[in-house]
Amino acid sequence: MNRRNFLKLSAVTGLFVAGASQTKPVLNAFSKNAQATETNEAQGEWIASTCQGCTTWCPVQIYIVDGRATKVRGNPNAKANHGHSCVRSHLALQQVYDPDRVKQPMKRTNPKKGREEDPQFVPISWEEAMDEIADKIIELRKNEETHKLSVWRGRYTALNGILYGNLPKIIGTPNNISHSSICAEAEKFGPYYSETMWGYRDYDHTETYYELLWGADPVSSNRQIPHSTNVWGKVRDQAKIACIDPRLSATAAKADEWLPVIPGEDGAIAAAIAHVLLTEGLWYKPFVGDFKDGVNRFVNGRTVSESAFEENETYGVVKWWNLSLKDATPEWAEEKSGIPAEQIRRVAQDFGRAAPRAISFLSPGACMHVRGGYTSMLTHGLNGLVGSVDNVGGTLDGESVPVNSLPDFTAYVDRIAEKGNSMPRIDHGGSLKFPALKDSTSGGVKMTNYVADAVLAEDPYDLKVVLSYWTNFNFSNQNTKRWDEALAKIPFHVHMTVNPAEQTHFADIVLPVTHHMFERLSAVRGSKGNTYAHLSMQNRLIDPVFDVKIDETEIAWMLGEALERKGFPNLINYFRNEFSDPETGKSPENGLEFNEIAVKMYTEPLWNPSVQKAGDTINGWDELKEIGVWNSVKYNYRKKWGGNFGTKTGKFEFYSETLKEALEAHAEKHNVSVDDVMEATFNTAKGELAFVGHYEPAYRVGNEQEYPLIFSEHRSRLNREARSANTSWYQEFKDADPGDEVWDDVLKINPVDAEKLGIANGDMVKVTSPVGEITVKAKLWEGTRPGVVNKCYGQGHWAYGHIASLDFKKQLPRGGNNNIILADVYEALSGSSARHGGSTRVKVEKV
Amino acid sequence: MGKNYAMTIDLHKCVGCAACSVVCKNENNTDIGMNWSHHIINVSGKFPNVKYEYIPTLCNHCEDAPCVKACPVKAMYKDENGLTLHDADKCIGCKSCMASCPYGVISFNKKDPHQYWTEQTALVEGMTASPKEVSEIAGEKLPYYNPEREYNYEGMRYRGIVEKCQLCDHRLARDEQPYCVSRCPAEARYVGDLNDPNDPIHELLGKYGHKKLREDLGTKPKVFYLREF
Amino acid sequence: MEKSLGTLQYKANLFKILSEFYNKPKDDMQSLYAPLNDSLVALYPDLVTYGKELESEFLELHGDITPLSVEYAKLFIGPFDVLAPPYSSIYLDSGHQILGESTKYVEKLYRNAGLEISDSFKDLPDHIAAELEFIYYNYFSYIDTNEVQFLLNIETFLESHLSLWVAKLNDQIWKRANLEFYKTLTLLTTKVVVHELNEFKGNVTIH
Repeated sequence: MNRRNFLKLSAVTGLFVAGASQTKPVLNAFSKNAQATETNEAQGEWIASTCQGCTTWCPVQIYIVDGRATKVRGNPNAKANHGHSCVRSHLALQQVYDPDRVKQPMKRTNPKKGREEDPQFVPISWEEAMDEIADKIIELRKNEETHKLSVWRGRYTALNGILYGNLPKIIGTPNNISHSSICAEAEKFGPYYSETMWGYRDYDHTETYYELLWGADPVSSNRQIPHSTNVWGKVRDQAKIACIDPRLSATAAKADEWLPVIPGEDGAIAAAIAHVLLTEGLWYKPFVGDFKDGVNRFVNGRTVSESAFEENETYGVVKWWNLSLKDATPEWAEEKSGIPAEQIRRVAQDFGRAAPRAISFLSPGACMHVRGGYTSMLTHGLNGLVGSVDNVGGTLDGESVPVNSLPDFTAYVDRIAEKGNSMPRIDHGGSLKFPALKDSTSGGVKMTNYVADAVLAEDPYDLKVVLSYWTNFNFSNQNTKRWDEALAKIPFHVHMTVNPAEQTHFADIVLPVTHHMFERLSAVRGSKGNTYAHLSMQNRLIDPVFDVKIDETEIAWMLGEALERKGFPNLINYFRNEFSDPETGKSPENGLEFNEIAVKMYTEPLWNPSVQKAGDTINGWDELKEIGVWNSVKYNYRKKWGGNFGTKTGKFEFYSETLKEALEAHAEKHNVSVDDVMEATFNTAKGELAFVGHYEPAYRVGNEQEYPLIFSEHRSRLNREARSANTSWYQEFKDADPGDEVWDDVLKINPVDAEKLGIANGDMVKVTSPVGEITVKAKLWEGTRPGVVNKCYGQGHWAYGHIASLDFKKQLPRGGNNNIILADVYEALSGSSARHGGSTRVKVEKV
Repeated sequence: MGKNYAMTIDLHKCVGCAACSVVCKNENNTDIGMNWSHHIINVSGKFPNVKYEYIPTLCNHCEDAPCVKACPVKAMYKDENGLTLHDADKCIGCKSCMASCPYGVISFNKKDPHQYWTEQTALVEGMTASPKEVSEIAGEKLPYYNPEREYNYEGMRYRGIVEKCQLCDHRLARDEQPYCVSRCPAEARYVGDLNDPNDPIHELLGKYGHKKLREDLGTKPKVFYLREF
Repeated sequence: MEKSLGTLQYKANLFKILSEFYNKPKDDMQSLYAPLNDSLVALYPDLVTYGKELESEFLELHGDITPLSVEYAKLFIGPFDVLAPPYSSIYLDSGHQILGESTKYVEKLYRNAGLEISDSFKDLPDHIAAELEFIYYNYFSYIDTNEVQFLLNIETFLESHLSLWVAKLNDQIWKRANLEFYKTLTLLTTKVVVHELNEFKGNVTIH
């Protein structure tokens, strides 16, 4: 063979030939799979953000592959959840990529408003939208009725002070209405009036020997879900767990004791537990103190002399006994609560024996009753009795997370704004019937749900312009019908929303906003867990999927610019003059810059290493964004002991001098007695009973003859605050909520009741209350007591998207929204809506 | 010697939250109704003495796998590490494996998955997007698509074949636990190598005792349940 | 004539040529005998005669490869009884079917080496031609990159797979073949594999 042929052969077959170079193999059977070995590697990067699917506000990380968000996990840098996130965090992926999101600003063209009216939305530009809103505000200012502007806030981040806090003040309205009162306020009442803590407690799971869970479901819903879930096996190993809950919750299914209380009657059990702890000498003496001679005089039915007892860290234990506990035997409580006396006694004894490592865990379920403020005091008082307050294995406050407040805005409040700000509030908080005593202040809480009534009655006046973000008030407030009517009445309503929700249907302008977890930079503070407090960063991890803006900052900025164009520059001047980059001094020139500068200013104490603080050291702004979380030091136990509880007496108050002062101030404001306040707020207490945790009989709307069943609602472990029902992952695993069904929203009814009513499993039933009706599927379920029907909140959307509704076009919901049938009642002392405690009776009929 | 992979699920730690099943869908790009990870719920007793039990399920990677025996084209096979795997290329969609599996953990693709994302109609014209629009913006048909699954299995399967849990063999191959294990907030799960005497799985199995699903069938499942829910 | 090649280049050529011989017979096979001979002379002088035999059997066809094509089809393709299926799974896996566990195994080894079966290769991954070409690829790549991994790939492949079944294929062919050509080819292949394996065993750490 000659060389030429050989070379040719070499080229064809890929053989080596001397003197010629062979650059690549010739292959018949194979192709080079460039990806093969290389691809079995991580293709993305984990970037920090925060999940606000519930108020645990978990630091998380998102896995970004080619600019797409593909996975979620807990942020391993966070000490509160130590790298874990719960099931709901993953659902956020289906939220951000939901095609049913609002993708651009829209304007209503049908002037008529109502559920049956088609809004006939048409697209408009952001600039047009801002001009229209600015026009309405300028008109209010021209007429000097800026108080007729109301800003509504639902969930929020640390930047809420801009859109919700300062913007209304600069324009001139006292009517910034948050959702806090429909969230949980009643459960904060007890901790505040015993140890001045208006906030969620941290519970020291890993160190405890007893968990007494009052409607709390920590492996499923708020609070500290990933941490609680993670340590639950250990807690079960070392501690006893008792769940007081009308339904067999996820946590109750994994507890030692289930006490299926008649809804709203929790107070009887709590009082009886206190009674047993005292009569059996199980209180924790190093905290509470003891009888001077060591002889226990807490005997059933007998009054005790206050002078016989010497207290240590507490105040008023004997007063409490005399006023509220001396007759509260387990037998007495059995009659009220439906729980056998022997079970109550056993739980009380076990709980007391675990002292001081014993937790009485408060939740909305046991406190958001019409008279639940006192249940909150009773149940939190149990922590006092066993000395677990501020103690190892007990109920904890949080370490501080130092941040900067927003720059002062008072210089930008002009005469018109000042006049508007001084007008009475639309929500009636602080009125006689709504003390709303947050932080000892009459009217310290905004009465969210009452705004609908006020608007309808034009009392104290009408609202003309509403700016509303991260809300869905005609879905999330009890007795939604009033909200549909009120919204139809408001002449100009801007809804800033991710999805076209029920509230959107009544909007004049719809503004699409960022999804908090993926599309915006911000910070979230106030959350804690596992004995650590933290600040967690949110981040713009992906290019926003649609033409969306950040509600709290970008939209506020654009509105400021539009108002300036129309002759009112104060808002934009506040933003331009008072906000500047803490490092470069640069002032913001657009909404996105404004957003970043605001976050940077707010968080500066945490990323500036020269600021002294007790917690992580973070070297600079970029590092804070990268790490995603700043952790405090571990909680310093017993720091409030020794008279630092912040109450009037400085002690942990069983008899609350602090509440007494607040109630007396409220009564004085209205020229009435405290007894009158009790009456006006539907409480039965007279005299000094108003100042201690005590049993109040459950208050229910609807008479028993017509509405024989008590309606009890609960939360879902898949709820992202009622915004996740449009994800298929939610629907596919809805049965992870014990008793629930996939792709459905069932009414859980005990088989005994079902039989009486002729209802079979899977029948459609009409559930009617004095305020409304829904039609849903019945589920026969042993996990609820006879006489009580149970239903999860979160479904029943007639808007929101193609999965949340059975038929979006026909407004046909999947299931039924509980708030259609729940009566609009309040725990007025705390200013909380009262959605729990069986506040509403229903009748159930097969259809 | 190859490995002999097995999973432990500690029911005492499990809180029944279904995170394993949701993240499985996330990792493996499965469509609605195609759940490689699922659960059995048992409720017994009468009020107030009610017992609720949640048992997470998945392919048991049986040592003596009926699906492997049933498959006429060897699309179901045991790999060298004891996994029961499915080869999409060979699968002819005859469903013999599904019929033979006593655990019901194999799903059949009646249609191409994630067809939803090809739809071109928006829910509210002008206001919301069509699924296809979102796919195009994201740059993937399934916007949160996980491409890492492609390494040794079809990233998304297709019409006419079955699919099932591969125990995240792509993750195991790079010394990571399956995604359901990594994301379980209760840390209830673990995958270990029974052939390795130093693997922590032996301690887990020894410490708590264990049971398997339908041991009577002789399939020798490799998913071991520890303790009680 | 030219300068000689290095040992590893001869090895690459040897496996490539063997692989080519297991493809359907083609007229231009003639050109492969010279490089085959070169490789054998350089590497395994005791096998040179097999190369020569192969060439003479081919030359006896006098340019008409039809009998060889017929034989190839009977042994390896069908359509009736396939006398000596050239796939590892037939000889290694229980059930003696195609597409067995060993097929999956070689696919994995291919994948680990950065290869996958080409769409244009209308045959199974464990076809003897593919397996021999795989060794060629690894030698080639080693020469190209000096990365030891490629040699380790060959060692693993020979030891855990090819050496386990090539002799069985040889036995089968010797039982069923009519012409001498494929008998000689598989015998040569088997011996090469044995030699290679022995070299690896005696020389585990190649630098």
